[in-house]
Amino acid sequence: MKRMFLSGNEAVAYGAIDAGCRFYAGYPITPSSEIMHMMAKLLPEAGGVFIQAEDELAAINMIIGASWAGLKSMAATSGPGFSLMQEGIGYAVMTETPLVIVDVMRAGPATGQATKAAQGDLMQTRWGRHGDQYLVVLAPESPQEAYDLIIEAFNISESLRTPVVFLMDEFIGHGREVVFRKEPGEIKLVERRRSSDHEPLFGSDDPRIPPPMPRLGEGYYVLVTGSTHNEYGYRDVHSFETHYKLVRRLKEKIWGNIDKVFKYEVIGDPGRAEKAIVCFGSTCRSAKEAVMGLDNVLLIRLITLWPLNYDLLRELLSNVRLVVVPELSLGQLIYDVQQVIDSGIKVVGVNKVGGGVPIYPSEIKKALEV
Amino acid sequence: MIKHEHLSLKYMRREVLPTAFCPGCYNGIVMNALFQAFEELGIYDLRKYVFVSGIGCSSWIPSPYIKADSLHTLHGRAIPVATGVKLANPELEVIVIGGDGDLASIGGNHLLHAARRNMDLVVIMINNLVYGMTRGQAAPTTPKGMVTPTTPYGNPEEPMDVARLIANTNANYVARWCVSQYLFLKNSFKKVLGEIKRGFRFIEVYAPCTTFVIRRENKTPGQKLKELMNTCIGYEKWEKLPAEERTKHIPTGVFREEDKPGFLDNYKQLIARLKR
Amino acid sequence: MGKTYVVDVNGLLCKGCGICSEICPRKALVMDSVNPATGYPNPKLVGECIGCKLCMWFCPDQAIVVVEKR
Ligand SMILES: Cc1ncc(C[n+]2csc(CCOP(=O)(O)OP(=O)(O)O)c2C)c(N)n1
Ligand code: SF4
Ligand code: SF4
Ligand code: SF4
Ligand SMILES: [Mg+2]
Repeated sequence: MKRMFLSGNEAVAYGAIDAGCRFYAGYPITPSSEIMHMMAKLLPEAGGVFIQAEDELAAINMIIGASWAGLKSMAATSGPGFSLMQEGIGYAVMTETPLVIVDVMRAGPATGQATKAAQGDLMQTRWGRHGDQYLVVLAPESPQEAYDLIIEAFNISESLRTPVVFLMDEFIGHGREVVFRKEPGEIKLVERRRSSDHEPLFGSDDPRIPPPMPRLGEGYYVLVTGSTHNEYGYRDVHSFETHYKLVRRLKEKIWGNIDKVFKYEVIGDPGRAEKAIVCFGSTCRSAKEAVMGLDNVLLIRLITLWPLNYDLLRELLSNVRLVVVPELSLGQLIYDVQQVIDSGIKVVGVNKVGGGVPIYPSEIKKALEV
Repeated sequence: MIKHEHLSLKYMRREVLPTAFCPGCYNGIVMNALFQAFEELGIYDLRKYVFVSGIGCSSWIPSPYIKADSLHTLHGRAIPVATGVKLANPELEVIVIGGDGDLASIGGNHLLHAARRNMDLVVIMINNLVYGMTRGQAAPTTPKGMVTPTTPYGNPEEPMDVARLIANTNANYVARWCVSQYLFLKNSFKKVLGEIKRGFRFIEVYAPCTTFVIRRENKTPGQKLKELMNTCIGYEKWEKLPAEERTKHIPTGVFREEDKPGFLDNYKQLIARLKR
Repeated sequence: MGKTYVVDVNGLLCKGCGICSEICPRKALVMDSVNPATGYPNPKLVGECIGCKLCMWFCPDQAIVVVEKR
């Protein structure tokens, strides 16, 4: 363990390197650029490859190619760049390509406020692409967690053969704190399952078990396509059965593994609490301060934002009469809460965005007083 | 009676033949020239070759017809995916095959930058003058005046000379051949697969779409092929033609040929410097 | 001197596009009746083949092969 003083962006870069990431492609954009700067420095030293892409369309597609050639790969970006990457992320879902994409959120839409924190990309991480597609979204609340969780993001992407979106915001990306960096022996790393001769590369009997993935050049004559394909990779752009089977399996691969990927933190006693806060990312830090000394408030911090364990959230919130949802946006996570609570329970959003203004603990406290 | 087999078939996935291409589609001729180049180089197995394509008829050549690893990517994104593959495993030979729309329109920026980087890729662009797959709309290569579904009154725009554009970059090799110039085309493939094995190597194949260009001219693909044998001429000869004659001919040839270090050589040098 | 050639057609691959018969410098190939297996006409050698291989190179469907008779 090594004690360092890092911003969230720097912590992501060190974590990625420690997770075995050996390929990075990106295009500069605030407030994520420091990740790119760090990777440009660290990767050549680690024997990996860094390339500055001509745009984010190139970046996401370069990491797709590198992943198929066998390297753990990552790209980091922010709002506008994340929008440009959406088609490629959908391709990665369809082709079951393990990747990690970091989105350090800034205020949008469009160019918005490039240097100011926001949390308005939440819905985009889940639904930003066309078609039926599911992936995993993780969100840390501090530089230390950014370091630990990015390693987990790579592990999930490898074990489920899926892209993972790593959602931060400018406060975490630029905020500096003490971070303990692990030594190689202290980290549990997961690698994608390699191929055996007989298994199809795009199908499995149990949808929760992803098919194996060879490296290109190993003689499997791999057929990778973003078009609808059967379990051997052959395109089938006409039959109902092939398409329905494929998208159902890809959905089940994510939702069927919810127990493995759903992470959250709870502060307080769900049996005794009358009120609750549901939050993710940097706003949880203000929320934690707000609940200090209050023993009737339950704080639920979502670390995994997708797939979301609605049943668990429903259970945790079953005894409260008020839920406060602080967000650095006009309100997106609040829809998840509204979905799981009974009518009669009040849900209040604390919403602020722009100007780099945080949500203060006092504002959350005030909302709890309703 | 034991039948003899076409040399191309050993490089193809037989179980998916015949191809989905229209009868008389020139894509199959480009495949023959490519496979003949492999055969003449003594390369019979393509397991160390990775083919990357985008979306379009020509992008179906590797996926699924070539018996090798292939990545059939998004429309326009073959070059960045190929770049990722090559950089992640330099042992692999990476070949991009795509259409004029795919590589020069929606993917045009990637083409320029891969050429600028002298990225270690072979890129084969089949210029069929239109968007074949989506029923023959105008492409950036469509001649001025041509009628297509999106240019019903004739194309008002000037076409792009893709090979010559790329010849003005840092690429190691740039050539254009008409599909009728079969032996030149095959020899160009041999050159970039067997001789100049690094840097960006770009070959444009002028091969009008049988269904949406040739049939619209009321010609058969055989007639058009014979016509191309006269309209396609070396660019030195073309440059000496009077202006009104030039538009009737296609200038072909090798526009650029070098064997300077590619992106990977330069990257390796940087790594070596780090280690010192 | 006096080489002769075999011209084999794979009727299942041929799509009857006629390129081979139009390109043959000897006009040695004609399009024959429709192959019931595919619905396309297949070429048939009716003249003298000089082994130039143009039909083989330009067949988009790898359906025609020219080999020297031994
Ligand atoms: C982002 C996107 N836009 C549009 C399309 C529709 N589309 C599919 S193929 C194609 C054009 C293909 O033309 P070209 O690359 O020249 O290939 P060809 O079919 O002519 O060989 C288009 C516009 C698409 N698949 N994706
Ligand atoms: S539409 Fe044109 S390019 Fe596409 S298969 Fe048919 S002839 Fe070939
Ligand atoms: S060129 Fe090939 S596909 Fe066309 S008619 Fe001749 S044999 Fe058949
Ligand atoms: S090899 Fe030449 S001469 Fe013989 S059939 Fe083919 S095109 Fe005609
Ligand atoms: Mg085209």
